Amino acid sequence: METDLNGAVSAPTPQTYDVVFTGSAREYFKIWIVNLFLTLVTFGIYGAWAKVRTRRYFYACTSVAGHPFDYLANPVNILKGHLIVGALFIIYMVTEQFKPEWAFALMIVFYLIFPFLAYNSLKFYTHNSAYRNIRFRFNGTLKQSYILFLLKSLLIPLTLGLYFPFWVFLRKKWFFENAGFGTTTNRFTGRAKQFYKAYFFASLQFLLLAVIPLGMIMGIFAATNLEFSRASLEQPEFLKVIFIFMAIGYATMVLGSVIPQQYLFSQITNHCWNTSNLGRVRVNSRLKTGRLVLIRLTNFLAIIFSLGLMIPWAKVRRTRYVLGCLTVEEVGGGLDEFTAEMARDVSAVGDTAVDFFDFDIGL
Amino acid sequence: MDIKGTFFDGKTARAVDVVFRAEGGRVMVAGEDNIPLVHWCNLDTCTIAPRLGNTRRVIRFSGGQRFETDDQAGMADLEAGAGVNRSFFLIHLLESHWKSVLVCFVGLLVFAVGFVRYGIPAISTHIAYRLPQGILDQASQEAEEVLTKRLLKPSTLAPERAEEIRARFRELVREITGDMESPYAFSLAFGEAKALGANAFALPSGTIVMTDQLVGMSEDIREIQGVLVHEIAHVTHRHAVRNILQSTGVFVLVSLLVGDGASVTGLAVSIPTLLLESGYSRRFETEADRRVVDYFVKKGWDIAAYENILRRLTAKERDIPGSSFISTHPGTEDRIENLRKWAARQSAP
Repeated sequence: METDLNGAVSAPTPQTYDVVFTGSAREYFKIWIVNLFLTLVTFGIYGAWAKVRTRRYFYACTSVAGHPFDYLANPVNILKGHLIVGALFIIYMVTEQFKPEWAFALMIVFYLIFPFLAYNSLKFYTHNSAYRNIRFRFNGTLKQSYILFLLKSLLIPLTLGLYFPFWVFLRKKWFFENAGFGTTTNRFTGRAKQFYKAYFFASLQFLLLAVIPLGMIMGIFAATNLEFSRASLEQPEFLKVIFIFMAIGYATMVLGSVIPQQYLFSQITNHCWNTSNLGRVRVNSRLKTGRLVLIRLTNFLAIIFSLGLMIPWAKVRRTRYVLGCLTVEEVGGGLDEFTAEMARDVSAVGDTAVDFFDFDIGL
Repeated sequence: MDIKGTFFDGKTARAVDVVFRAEGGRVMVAGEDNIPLVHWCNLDTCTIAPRLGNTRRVIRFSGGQRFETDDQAGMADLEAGAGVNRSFFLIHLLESHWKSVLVCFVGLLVFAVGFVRYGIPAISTHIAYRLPQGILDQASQEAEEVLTKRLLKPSTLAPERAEEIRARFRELVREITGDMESPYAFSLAFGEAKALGANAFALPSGTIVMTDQLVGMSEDIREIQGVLVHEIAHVTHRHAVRNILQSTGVFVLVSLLVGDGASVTGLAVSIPTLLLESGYSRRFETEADRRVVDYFVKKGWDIAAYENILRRLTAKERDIPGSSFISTHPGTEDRIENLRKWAARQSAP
C-alpha cells in the first residue's frame, strides 16, 4: 500500500512490464556453431554443455523489469540424462531391427517409464530456472504424473479422440496449477471449454486447408493420369506434371498443417497465461495466429534455402515474437515480495534423480 | 578491486545495488553505507558463471546469495587474477570472433564428412562382423516371412530349370566361401511376384530369393551366375546388417547436428538422412559388383554377360537425370563403366 501526500491510503496502482528479449541472431549463431563443432568432436559429450550454454543464453537475454532470467542446471547432470536416453534409444533401435518381436514389449516398458521421465524433467526444468535469484518450482507429484500419462491417456483412443482436448487441458492444468516461484504457487482458472473450442476450429481448418484441397489435388491427378498413362514415361513433360503436382501437394500439406498448429498454440498459450496468477503478479499473453504462421513459414523457407545455417536466426526470431507478446503485471510491489522457500528444494543435492532428465516434452 | 552490480540475498526477490570487493583471493559484498551483505570469504567458495556472449555476469555465493554485473572487463580481470573458468574463457574466445567461428564451421564440415565417409562405415563393419549368426538369422526371419508369405507366389519355373540354377548356385557358394566352414546357411528360393518384377534379394542368413521374371529375362546361365555372385557378396560382406547399423549412425549424427532445431521441420532431418543412406547403399552395390568382376575374371568368363542382364534389369526403370543422387543403386551406365574398368585392370596386371 502506498500513502499519498494527504496521508490517505490509495489503491495500489498496477504496474506493467514488458518481457524483453535482447538475444541477437549473430551472437547466437556463433555460440551455435561452436556448440555443434565441440559436440561433434567430443562425440556428443559436449552436447550437455552446449545445451546449458544455449539455454543460459536465451534465459539471460530475457528480462522483466530489468532483471534477466537464469538457467542453473549442472551440465554433468544433463550428460547423465543424455547417456541414459541414448542407451535406451540404441537398445530400441537394435531390438527393432534384430528382435522385432521384443520391440513391442520395449514400447510398453517405455510407456511405463514415460510418466516418471516427464515428472522428473518438469521438476528439473523448473527447479533450474530462476529469476532474481529465486528458483521456479514444480509441486506436482509422481502419482499425478502416472494418473495423467498412463491412465487417463488410455481414454483418448477409447473415446475416438474426443477426450483428447480435455486431456490436453488436464496436462496444462497439471503444470500451471503446480508451477511456483519461490514460496508462491501459481493459480490457474483455465476452462476445458476453451480447449474444445480451439481443437474444434483447428480441426475445421485442417479439414478445409489440408484434407479437402489434398483430396482435390489427388482427384485431379488421378484424372490427368488417365490421359497421361498412355503417353510414354519417356516424356519430360510427364515428369514435369508429376513434379508440379507433388510440389502443390507438399505446399498444401505444409500450409494446411502449420495454420491449425499455430492457431492451437496461440489459443492455448494465451488462455493458460491469461487465466493464471502468481500471487500479485499476472502474465498476459497476446499471441496472434497470423503472425506466428508467417514466422513459421518464412523460418521454414529460410532454413531450407540456407541448408540449415539460418536455424539460429529462425529460433531467435520466433522467441523474440513469442516473448514480446507477454507482459507482466504486478499489483503493489509484487515482484519484490516473492520469497524463496528455504525449507525444501534449496539445492538439488540429495535429490539426484530430479537432476537426471531434461527433455522438451512439450508441456 | 571493486565491481559494481546488483545483489540478491536468495531469500527474497528484492534487488539491492552493491559493490563487490576482491582482495587477494578473498571477496565480500558491501551494500549501502558499506554494510557487508556477504562477509569476507574465499573466492573459491563462490561460483562464477562462465562468460556467455555479452550477457550479464553472475557470481553465486555458498550461502545462496547472488551478485550480478554488466562490468565485463572487471569480471575478466577477476577471473584472470584467480585463474578460474579458463577453459570456458577459451570457449568464449571461440564464440566471440568471426574468424574462429569460421574455423569451427570448417572443422565441423570436415569432421562430419570424415565421420560419414569413414567413421560410420568402419564402426558398422567392425560391429557387423562380430554379430553372432543367430542374430542375423533372427533379423532375416521376418523379412523372409514377408517375402514368402505376402509378396511371392509359388514359382512356376520348370523343376529342371530350377534345379539347374540351384546346382550352379551350390557350385558358386562352394568356390566363393571356400572349404572353410561357412556360418551362412545358403539357400536359393524362387517365386513369382508381379509387384517386384525381375529382381533378386539376399537376406543376412544366406537365403537368396530370385523372381521367375529374372530367370525368364536371362538369356544365358552366365547372366544368372553373375546375379548370384552379386547376391552372395551381399551376404558374405554382411551388407544388410551394415546398412542397418550405418542408418542408425547417420540418424544419431543428424539428430546431434540438427537436434536443436529439429522441431522447426522434420524435413531438416529426413532429407540429409535419406541422402546419406542412399549413398551408403550405392557403395554396397558397387562392392557387390566388384566381387562379380573378381569372380568372372578369375574364371576367365566374359563380364559382358553380367553387363547384359544389368542393362535389361534396369531398362524399365529409366534413369531420370540427376536421380542417382537419391537412388539406392548407382546409375546403370556408371555400373557398367566400373565393371569394364575393373575387368581391364584385373586381366592386365
